[in-house]
Amino acid sequence: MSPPSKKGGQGGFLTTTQRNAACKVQTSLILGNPLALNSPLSRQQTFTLSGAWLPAALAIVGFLALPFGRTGRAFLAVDPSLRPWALGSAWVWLVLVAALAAVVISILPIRTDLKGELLTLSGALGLLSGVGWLVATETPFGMGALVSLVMLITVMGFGLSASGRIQSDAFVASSILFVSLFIILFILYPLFAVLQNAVIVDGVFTFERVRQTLSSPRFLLFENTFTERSESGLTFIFAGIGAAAGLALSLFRRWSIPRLITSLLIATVVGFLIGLMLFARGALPTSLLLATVVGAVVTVLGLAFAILGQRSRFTAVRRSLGALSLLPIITPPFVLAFAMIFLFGRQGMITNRLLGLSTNDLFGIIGVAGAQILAFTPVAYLVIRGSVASLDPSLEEASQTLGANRWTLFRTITWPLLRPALANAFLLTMIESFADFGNPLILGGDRFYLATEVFSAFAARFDQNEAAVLGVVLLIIVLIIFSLQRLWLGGGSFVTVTGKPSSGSFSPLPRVLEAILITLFSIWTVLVLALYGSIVFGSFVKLWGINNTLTLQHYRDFMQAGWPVFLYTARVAAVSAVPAGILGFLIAYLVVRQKFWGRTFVEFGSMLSFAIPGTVMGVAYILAFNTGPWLLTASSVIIVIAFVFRNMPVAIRGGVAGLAQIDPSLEEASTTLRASSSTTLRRILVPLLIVPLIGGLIFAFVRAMTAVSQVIFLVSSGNMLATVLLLGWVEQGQLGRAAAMATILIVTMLSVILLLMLFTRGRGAQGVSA
Amino acid sequence: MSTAAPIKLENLSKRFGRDVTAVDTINLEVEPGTLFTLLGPSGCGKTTTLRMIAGLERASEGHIFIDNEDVTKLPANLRDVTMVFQSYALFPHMNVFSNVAYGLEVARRPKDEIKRRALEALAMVGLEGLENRATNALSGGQQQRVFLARSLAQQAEVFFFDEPFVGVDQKTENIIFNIFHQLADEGKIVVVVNHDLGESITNFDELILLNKELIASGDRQQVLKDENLQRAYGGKVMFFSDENN
Repeated sequence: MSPPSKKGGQGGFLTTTQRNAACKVQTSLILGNPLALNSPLSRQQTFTLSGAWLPAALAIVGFLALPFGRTGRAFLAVDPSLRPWALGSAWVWLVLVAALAAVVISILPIRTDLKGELLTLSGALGLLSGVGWLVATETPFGMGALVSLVMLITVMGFGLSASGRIQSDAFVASSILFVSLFIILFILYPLFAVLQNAVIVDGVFTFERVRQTLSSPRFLLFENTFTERSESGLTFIFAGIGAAAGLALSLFRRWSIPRLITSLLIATVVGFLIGLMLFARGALPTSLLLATVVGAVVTVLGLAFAILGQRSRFTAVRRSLGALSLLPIITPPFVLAFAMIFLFGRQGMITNRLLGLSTNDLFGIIGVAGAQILAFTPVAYLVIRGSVASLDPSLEEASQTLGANRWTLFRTITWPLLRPALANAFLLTMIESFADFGNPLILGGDRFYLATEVFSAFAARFDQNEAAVLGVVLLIIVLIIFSLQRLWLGGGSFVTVTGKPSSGSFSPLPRVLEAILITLFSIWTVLVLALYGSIVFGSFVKLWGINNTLTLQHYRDFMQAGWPVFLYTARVAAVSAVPAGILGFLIAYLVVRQKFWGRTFVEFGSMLSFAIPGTVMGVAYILAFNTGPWLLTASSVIIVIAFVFRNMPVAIRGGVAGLAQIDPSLEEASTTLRASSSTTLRRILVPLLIVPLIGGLIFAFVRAMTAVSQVIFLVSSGNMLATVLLLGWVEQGQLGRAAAMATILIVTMLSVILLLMLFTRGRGAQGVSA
Repeated sequence: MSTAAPIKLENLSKRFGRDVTAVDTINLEVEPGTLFTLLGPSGCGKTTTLRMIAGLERASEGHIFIDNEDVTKLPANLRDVTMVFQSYALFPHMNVFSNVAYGLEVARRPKDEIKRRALEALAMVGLEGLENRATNALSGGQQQRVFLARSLAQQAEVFFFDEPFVGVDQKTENIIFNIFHQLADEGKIVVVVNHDLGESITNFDELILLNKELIASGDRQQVLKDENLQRAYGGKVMFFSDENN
């Protein structure tokens, strides 16, 4: 098939003169063209020196100069007994052998792909033997192990690239390896540790603790023998009603047999769950009830506010709704709960002063639900807003010209378009509610909640097996909801479809509806403002509700007890934000722009870190990193790592959204201009994506400053965090200084976010073009 | 003066998923010093073939040889292939000069050499004096020429052009053709994907007709036979008709 490629008719039909006439190019430049000389850039030789010699050499240096293991928690301590030659183990020396082999292979004149395979092999060999030794002897890794193993992974990256197994350069190949290993070590392995602790007690495999925990009345009290009614009976009646309803619906709609069976099953389960929520007691039904109620209310509120924000006649209303979406970002999740004590508690401004009540009703499921509704409504608003904004007015106009009335319009056009967003908001807030830790801890009262039970099993009853079992339950519930969401909304990708506001104009809201919505929003706003105001006010008065003399005492207390902690928190949050942002962006880049084996794994793993409740991750980290080769607890390092993997998804989303706006041919052009992918990232993508990148960093920082559920497991005496301290003060009843700390936190976060907005506004145009 | 070595494709195939075959077992040899054009209907695998050779797309089967070296698995940035994309793909955050100098900067050439070569390349495409312009302040034709200059400054041995004449004015088209011939005369490999079966076809030395598989290659008489066009375009013979996108 090979064509006879001869120079046919030199230059086609155009003669040289014609060509020169067509374009005024100096002939001298063509003839004496320096560009025409033999290109010094061209790569002619087949045998190339692999860049892998450098990491391999560094692996050798790290191995020889630094201790391979460590005895205590101190990373930099040099313990002579843990030098490689003092260990007397052949496995350890394999690391050195592998590194030496990698250096030799790098400079050997052999075929590139063979060289790649050999480098991969030696890197993997060294890595396996090093890790194998650490795991087998349960020695905490030392700096020597860290450096040499990291460098051996880099060698593998070079190898995989050279062998063509990953068709990209060494940078991308190494990044893929590192990201995968991070996901395994810091997301999957901790979860595995939780599972392990749930079923392995004192080294013996048993379901005994699972049974104990799940049958404990704290978890589920199905039949309360002290009441006259039969809770289990009532629950089964509800299941029966559900089954009947499902059957009736199926027969009415004349569904096929398989569909009938499915709907029958679903209806029965739903009926059972409703019965459970209404009659049973314990952490499971309580959390379930809470999540369902909060999810439903918050979704309705979110929809109401989204409609108002999009279609209200008043600009002021639309503006203040924008500010609303900032609230959950700047506030630690439990601060509103704590403020609610000021307003609705025993000495509450409203309950006591206004209504003359002295009640503890706030403490219980109602209080928690209230706090969660206030905290999560902005989340639902954000989720639904995009959908409402992308509703196409021309669709409505079209259907109205077809003579549809408002109700038909809503039923046939608006509702089907909104349904996915509503489902998404509902399921997301359910997850948030299940995972929420601070609010139930403060306002929980005499009820039990799954997230707090995990913590109290661990921190109060010192029972890590029970904590693990409860963690697994929480994890399973959240994963079920999460997969429901994926199933329902489709697409396993981070890429969210963002709607562009389209042309045409919406018909204005009916006046009655708008009035109702504005009233609702006003109540909400007044409540939130009162809550935030009460925190600020509470920080300046002597004793809330008893002695309202103004004082700075709480701030003095805070400066003494809280300021160092605050500074430490800010430092840890800042330090963790950088790797969180970089890692998130790298993952976004790899997932969106690179094709490689295991991409789904990386995507799934990073999604997992987003979905898992903080309390579960907290227990998981404690169980995984408290002993053995990966000993990290009681240090700033583990807090930083926890923050990195907790907040990385924010940067991933920012990166994915940013990359979606950049034409891939820019990167391809850079690649064909012979830039490596690291150069392309540095010179093309980072400058173009600087706004979302900085945004990702800031959000990672802010989230770290306000997080509590995971890190409450990880703090130690020298590593206390502001939110944990604040929570402790609230629990101890030191509300004054807690209010002072909360005020400082809120003001700080607010200024950080405002600075970011200022920065983004100036640079907003960049990164969009291309 | 011929310095470039031929590109050889051996049983090259590209499949997307299980069912979609974009490129089917192509065997082809492209020699330096000849101006090639790659023809075929939309979606016939022209761009995919070039992208595989450039390393931007992974071959499902077969081998690619550049200069007798199997580069099938070599990362794109290590291949001596420059590609000019259909969308101009100019870096929006850099001015004209920085765009043209990019490849040289990446290769860490000395400062004065970068400047000299970038300006020369801009002169070749007739854009002297525009080096400090922002790229979005240029017309489409000018942008295409900046892109061309960027590739020229690179001094690659293999040049691929993906539909360089789409949306380009006559002046730019002439300049581009002139440069094509110049490159071919210098012994480079030049392959141009072209939608247009019209007059411009007469400017090329050799034609390659593709419709998933290789249908014909050679000079105009050999390739533009009715039976070949029939196979490529399925019944409709569109010779000398204008078909843009």
